[in-house]
Amino acid sequence: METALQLLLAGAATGSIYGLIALGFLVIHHATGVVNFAQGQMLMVGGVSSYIFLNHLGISYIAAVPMIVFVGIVLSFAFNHVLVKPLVRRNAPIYSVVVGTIAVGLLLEEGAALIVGDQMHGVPPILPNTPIQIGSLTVLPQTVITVLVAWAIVGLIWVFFNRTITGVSLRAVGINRTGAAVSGISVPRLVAIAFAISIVVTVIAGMLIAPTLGAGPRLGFDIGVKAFAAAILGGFNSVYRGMIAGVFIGILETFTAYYVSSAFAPTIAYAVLLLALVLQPLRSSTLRMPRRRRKQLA
Amino acid sequence: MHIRKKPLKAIAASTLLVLSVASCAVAGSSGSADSRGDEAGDGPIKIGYIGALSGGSAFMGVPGGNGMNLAVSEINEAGGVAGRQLELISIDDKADPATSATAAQKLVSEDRVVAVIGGPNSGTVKANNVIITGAGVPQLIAIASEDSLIDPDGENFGLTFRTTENNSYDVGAIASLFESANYKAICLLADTTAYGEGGVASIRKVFEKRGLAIEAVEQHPVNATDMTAQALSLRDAGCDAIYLFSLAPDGALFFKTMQQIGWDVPVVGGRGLAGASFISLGGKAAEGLIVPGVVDPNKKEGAAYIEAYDAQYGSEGDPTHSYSALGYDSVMLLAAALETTGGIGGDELAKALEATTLTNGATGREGSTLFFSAEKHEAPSENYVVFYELRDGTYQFLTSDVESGL
Amino acid sequence: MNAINELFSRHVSRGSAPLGSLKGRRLIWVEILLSIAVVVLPGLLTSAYQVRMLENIAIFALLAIGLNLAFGFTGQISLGHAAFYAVGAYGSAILETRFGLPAIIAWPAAVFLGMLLALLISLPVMRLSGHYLAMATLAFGLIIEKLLSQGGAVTGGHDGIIIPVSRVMGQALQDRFVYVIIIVALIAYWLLRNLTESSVGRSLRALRDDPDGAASLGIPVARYRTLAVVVAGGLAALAGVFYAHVAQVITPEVFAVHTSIQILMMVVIGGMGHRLGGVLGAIVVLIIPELLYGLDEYRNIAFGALVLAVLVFLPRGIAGLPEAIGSLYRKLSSRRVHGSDTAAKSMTGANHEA
Repeated sequence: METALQLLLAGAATGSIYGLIALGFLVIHHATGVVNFAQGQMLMVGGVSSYIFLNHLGISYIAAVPMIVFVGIVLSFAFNHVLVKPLVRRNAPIYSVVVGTIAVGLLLEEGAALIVGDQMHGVPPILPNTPIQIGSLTVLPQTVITVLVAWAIVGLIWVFFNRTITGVSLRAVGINRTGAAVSGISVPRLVAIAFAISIVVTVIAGMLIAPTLGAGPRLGFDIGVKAFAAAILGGFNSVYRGMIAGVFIGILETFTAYYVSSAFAPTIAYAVLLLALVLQPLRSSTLRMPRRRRKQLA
Repeated sequence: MHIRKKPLKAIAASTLLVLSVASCAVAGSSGSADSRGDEAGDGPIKIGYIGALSGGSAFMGVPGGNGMNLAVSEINEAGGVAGRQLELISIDDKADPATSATAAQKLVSEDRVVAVIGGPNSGTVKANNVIITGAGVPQLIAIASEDSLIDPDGENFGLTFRTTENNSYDVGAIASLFESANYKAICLLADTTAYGEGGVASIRKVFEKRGLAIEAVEQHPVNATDMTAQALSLRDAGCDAIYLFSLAPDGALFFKTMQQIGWDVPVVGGRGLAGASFISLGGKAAEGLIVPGVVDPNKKEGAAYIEAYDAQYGSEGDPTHSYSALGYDSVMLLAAALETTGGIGGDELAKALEATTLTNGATGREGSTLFFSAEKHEAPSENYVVFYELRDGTYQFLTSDVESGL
Repeated sequence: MNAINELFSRHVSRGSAPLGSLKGRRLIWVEILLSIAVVVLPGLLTSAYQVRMLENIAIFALLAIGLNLAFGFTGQISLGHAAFYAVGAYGSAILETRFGLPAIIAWPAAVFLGMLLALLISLPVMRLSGHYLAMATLAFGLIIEKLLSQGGAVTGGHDGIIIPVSRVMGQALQDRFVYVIIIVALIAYWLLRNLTESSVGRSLRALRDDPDGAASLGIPVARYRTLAVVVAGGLAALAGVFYAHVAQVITPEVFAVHTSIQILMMVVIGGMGHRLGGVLGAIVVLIIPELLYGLDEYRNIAFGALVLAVLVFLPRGIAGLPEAIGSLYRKLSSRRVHGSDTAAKSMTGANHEA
């Protein structure tokens, strides 16, 4: 029993990170129809920035967090202006954007490799690594903080999309761009906000996971794939369903690794992804007009 | 539907066909029979190095290259080899077999090196060994330790040599360490890459020969995001010591996971954990890890090497000095053999290597030597390996008092 | 079948040449001359290294030509193309080493396996498009990669397989292998060129840009998509067979996702949906790192930046460069004309108002 609980907690922690990245996917996709294949690399940017601020510049976490958020915002602006806007303006087909995001991901990886070197670095945890006792379980503070912060963010985003004018406007942009523009909503401004939210959320996830997994340029690709699986599984329409799907995948991984086979666990995640994708058209089709009622973010 | 025939195009197509058949017949072998190196001349003697100078294996490949460069400059300052200067040409293969093979082709046919030193990744060495030995050039593997790279029954054995001890050798030394500490339940954790799987195979083989039981074996994918399952399985199996054959990020994660579940047992690691990367990633949780090394500070040449290397490159990049010292001694071995052949490569160089012995190498425990023979293409003699322990944020020499054999 | 006829058609429809019919006819001659030059090239090379580079380019050209057909012309993005590459390499290697089959049987069998796998995978993912298809193909590639490294004795696991080339091919063939690869690549190029310049090619492009519209015109969308993917799979498997016998040892890492992405980038840089796209892309992507040899660390960044620049500024790839320059020139010169016009107009306008 204790083992199962321990596995559950570990799976939930990694899964929460998948869910956060899935949230990042989701927000951009809803606002622009673009799927950002570089989302995993955005996670990496969070981790590497944490390493630079905390280790190299010796800044404390309290000061580092807003700086990392700022990095995320800057990155989102660059991404939006350098890649997405020119392509959208030219009415480029969707696969051009797909390839474009892949290229951006490559650039981010290589850029990070140039700055911090092509290796993994350790990042200090938020609180020192003395295990906490919860009943019969021991758990590191970082794990607890990760789960709490991740769900807090999801909660905040939900509130944003449902209780603020900006959030509701953003949902409108995703449902019907022209209609939203006609209603006086500034579509470009909201698209920029969507990018900012998506990337900042992912960058924070990177900061949360860095003390556990390390920070390095090549981190992020694998995790990005699993996060995409979570996004699809959760349905590209829901803030918290993506999160639940992420946690599900995380727990599936840990349980498979323990009860079935530790070597084959990742293949199972990919197989789940493939299955979810193949069965996806049964739920909705990208070629049909989206039914308005389903396009909610709650 | 064919609205119009184009006779011109038909003529062009058939010309093409005729030309191609003609060139096939006429052309003989294009560019085979490459260099066995330049014959004795005046220019520098060129040797090549192909290794991972960027990417995840760079923590081994870069220090290896540094050690080689250190040796080359020392040799050149002392007058060179057979009166000629030694030149090292390094190519980064990024741990990719296809890149490595192309790099090998460049070294043997364009740069015309007399020998190639092999880098840290067994997969790439396997890929480029075929090309290098196929061109009649000997290869001396400095760091890659998978057993199967040196195969007495293999086609390329005659031209392939290795400076470092192989996986089984390390495993034997660690088995001695385990035996002396009298552990009851030794468990194994490895990744699923070539490195990990090669390790598992070697460990099973050697432990069986020594009569040591392995209580449990767990594996994990490389760059894992979570090791809780593996750690819990091993704890359930009642292990009292762990043999960890993973790379730095996963090894570090394992230590943090052990901390998380509140489990603490002695851990001995493979040489892949002996880098600065692991120290950075593992932090306090990884203190106490024991790894094998090849530099003995109690040996005169070992201590001298540590000083010389640190002065030039600093001590952080290669905390146990293993990778750089292996590069250094590889060049020394080649230089000794080249001195005999006067700079000529090919089979002559291979024969010369087989007669070479290095008694004052930077690597190896006090009293050990590096030597080859017609049947022995792996350099280390008996009792070559020493051990280091991760303490106070760096690897400190632990002991040389462990038996390790051939 | 109509499509097969078109593969071998020697008729080139005038209208498809991008710069007008006259230029189109001239272009054919340039292509023919270049083809002849490429065949003669190996004889002029001086070192085995250069021959090896040429072989690499020809192999990747095969891969890129195939992917260009499936993706550039038919719109089926694939981030897992290396899977078919792997099937060709491992297929031929396993048949030769584990089953002792001669090359004459093993090689076609491997290509057939590649086409079969392409057919099998295209069925379930047929209805996907855009990023969903991209992800599905990515997952597919990752699974194949994993199977190769965990394949035990069959695939040699991480050690891979060593191909006894001298036994399988004989010395005469081995020495002239570069010619074989080049000629096969050229044949593939010309066949596909004819196909894409024909009515089938136009149908493919139609169904890439507007599947519903194409379907309404009676174009068999599903069948053409499958055809494109199967041909691409076959070409990739053929490239794999060649690679296995050039490199003489194959390991799973060669067929990893980064290779798939590399091939995709070749198609994008070369020119998606342009007949020269695959070949140009392969040449550019493989030659540029060699030229930038001194700037080692910046190579990859330069590569990524190049892809991005092509996407943003040169959407039709390098093959579309002459066209892009042409339209830029026209835009600049027309602005000069317009400039004087508007000046005159505003003056008269002002006069009118006054």
